[in-house]
Amino acid sequence: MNSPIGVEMQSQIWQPVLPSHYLRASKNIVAGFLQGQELALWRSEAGAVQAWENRCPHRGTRLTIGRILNDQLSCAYHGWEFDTRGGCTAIPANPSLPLPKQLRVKSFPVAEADGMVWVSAAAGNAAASQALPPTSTGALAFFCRSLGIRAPMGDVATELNAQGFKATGAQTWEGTLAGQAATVLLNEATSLRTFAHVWLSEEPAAAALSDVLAKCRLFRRDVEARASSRSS
Amino acid sequence: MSATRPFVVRRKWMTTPDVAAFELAPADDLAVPEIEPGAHVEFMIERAGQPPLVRHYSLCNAPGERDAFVFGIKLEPQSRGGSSWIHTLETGQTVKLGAVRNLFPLSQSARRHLLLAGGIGITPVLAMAQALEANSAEYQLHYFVRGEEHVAFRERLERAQAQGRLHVHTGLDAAGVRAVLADLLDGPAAGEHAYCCGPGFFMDTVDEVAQAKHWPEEGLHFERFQAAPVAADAIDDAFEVELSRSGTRCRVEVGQTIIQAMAAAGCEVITSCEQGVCGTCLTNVISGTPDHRDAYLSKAEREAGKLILPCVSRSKAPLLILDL
Amino acid sequence: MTFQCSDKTILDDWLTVGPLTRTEGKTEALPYRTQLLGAEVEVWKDVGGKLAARTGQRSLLIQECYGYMWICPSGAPRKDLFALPEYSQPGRRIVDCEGIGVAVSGLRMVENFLDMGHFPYVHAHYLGEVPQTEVATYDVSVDETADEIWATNCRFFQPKTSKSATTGLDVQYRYRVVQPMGAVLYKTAFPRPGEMDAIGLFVQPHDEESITAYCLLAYYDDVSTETDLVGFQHTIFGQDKPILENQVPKKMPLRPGIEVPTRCDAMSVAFRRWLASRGTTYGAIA
Repeated sequence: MNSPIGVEMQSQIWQPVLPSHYLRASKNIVAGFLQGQELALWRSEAGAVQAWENRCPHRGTRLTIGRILNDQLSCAYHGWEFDTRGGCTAIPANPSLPLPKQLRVKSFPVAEADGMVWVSAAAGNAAASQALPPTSTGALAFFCRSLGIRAPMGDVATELNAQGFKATGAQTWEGTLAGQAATVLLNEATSLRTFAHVWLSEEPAAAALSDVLAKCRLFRRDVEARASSRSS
Repeated sequence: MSATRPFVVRRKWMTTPDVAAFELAPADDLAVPEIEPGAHVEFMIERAGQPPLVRHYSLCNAPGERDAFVFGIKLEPQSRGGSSWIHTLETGQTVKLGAVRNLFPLSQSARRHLLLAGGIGITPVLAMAQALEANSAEYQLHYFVRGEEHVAFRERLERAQAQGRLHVHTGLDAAGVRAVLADLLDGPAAGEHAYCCGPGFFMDTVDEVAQAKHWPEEGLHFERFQAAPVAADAIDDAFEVELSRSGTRCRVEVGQTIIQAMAAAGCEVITSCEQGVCGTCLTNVISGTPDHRDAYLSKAEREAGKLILPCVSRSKAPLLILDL
Repeated sequence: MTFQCSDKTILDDWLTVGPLTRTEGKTEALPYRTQLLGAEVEVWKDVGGKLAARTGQRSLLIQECYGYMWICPSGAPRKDLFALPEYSQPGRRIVDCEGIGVAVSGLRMVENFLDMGHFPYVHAHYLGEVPQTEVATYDVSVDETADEIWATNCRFFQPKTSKSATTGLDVQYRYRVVQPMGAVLYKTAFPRPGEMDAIGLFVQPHDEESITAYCLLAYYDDVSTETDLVGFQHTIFGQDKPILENQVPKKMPLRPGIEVPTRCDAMSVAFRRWLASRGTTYGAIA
């Protein structure tokens, strides 16, 4: 997918969906997005992140409105439970019937690196899953914020390029924001929405942080304005 | 559904401790048709929040009794809902009645009539007795009850009693009933027909004894109230399944599903709920009789027998051939 | 305006546009306006007090029944409006609970109304309680003459059967689908042993993915205040709303495989099969 000024921005198999610290072990379920696919993410007691299609196989209820109970995800509608392998382990309305073995939630491969949760869009696609998950580089030290931007990822990439950022890896751009060394990780949520996760290489002083945050807001404003003027 | 006519409860009384008797008069004040002895009428039971039920009740009307329908209904603890509703029916209320039919008529060629009534089976038999009495025909009425207090419509039996034609047998156990019947059915007199109505086991006993005594079949008449009992065959059997396309045959053991047996034989069928509800494993039946255990197929589909859900259903016959 | 609907089974059906009370004080010049099947509809009472309705310039067939207004969008109804004998049964108290808006297909709303498995989760402490979560096997039958479906012999454990109750009881239920967009629920009437209260769900489809769900009670209850009765219904519907609005997709998939039912979903399975067999597609994905 090309941006107007010729910067190639190919969506990678692995995308940074959430900062790792958003998921507290066996506590919360957070929504994520991956090229139009809604995700429900949660962390097991053992620490492993689960990235599931955000839809219960029973009646299509979003799993993100469910809750974590005894290291299982319990759907809000009928209380069906799914374990960390995505298999259904309880159907409370029929406690005496054997559980259908085929009944599982669709799950996506997950990797954690540099404080981020990466999810692969491959979901069992053998060829695509050969793409290796990202590994930690140690470059991300301080989490600044995530920005939800109402613009296609190509537009965000274009603007980053215009701000002097360079693409250095899968969905990864490096540059400076308000004088601070920054890394921006892009998640193509849908064809019209992008999440930009902004990290700094070290913790700034309070005033400097304030400037960085202001720069982020301006960045988003500019990208969104350009995207909407093009579409109107 | 046939046309119905509204009737009003003119009178209701308990003729025995567990039999309610009713007189239902037409709401339009027109006469009821002349009722043949042995006839029954259709009741349309509409209840709030339930699908309508149709029930049949035998009429006790005497000849010429045309201002109301008369009948009695026993409160059955295991009823499918029909009789308990009737007991809340009060004087002045309206009910809908349908057709009057007779599946238990008196034989025109009979010259003697042996009437056998067990419990609530008295209702059609009583109509017969009243009709035979009015025609001065030869008959005997034998009425089997648990106790004297369970004799229903005693006032209508007075004539028969006075004539010595009524015989009430109280408190007999199965052996006692059989002994009395053995005596009564011991060789029919010329032109004698027997008519029997009562609980299933009572009629079965009459049937057995009559057959043992070589009572001619055309001279033996039953009015069976209840639907045939469900055969006690809930015990599963092993059977064979053949997959018509591959020719594979496999045996489905007791406790094993068709899907499991096929998988063991190397044929995988996609399933989903494994509870006979989702329709994913729906398969065509080439030949055989499916034993449906699912909650997916419609009544028509079940009866047609051309579809099966192999994750839960079984086979009634030893061989089931599937289109796989 | 024309209705944004090509589904004959819906166009020929009687669809509600709300209770009669919504036309109070409305005239032809200032009618009650509402949306039905993607089109704007105007309803008012003429000088003689008779209901009238139109969409754009086209007048619409409308009738009042059970205190509600019903429009047949095509003008050629496939059959009479469903029977609700409880509405005029002596001794019953009729309470209209009006409606709430829900952003989902009307078919999913009806299916939710027929479901008991969610009682201990969505309506915890009201209609059900963990761990009494089992839905016992019940019977499903199709009334081919009336073109309706019934679930009978249903029962579910309810923790509190009234404000003053201290223990729970098994409550008897019966469910009746009268239309794709309408159903009636019957449940044990505690003040009258042997009788059942009736609750009607009438869905007005504004479009395929948004509705107003109206509720009409025909109860044997001379004790509760109207506020309490209406408030309870709104509490229940208010608990269902976030679940329904989080079902994906909003339209109901009719093809088997996408959503997997289990044994306790027999009524929902029958409902989806019934819709598929009669060709209902509005608010569904075939």
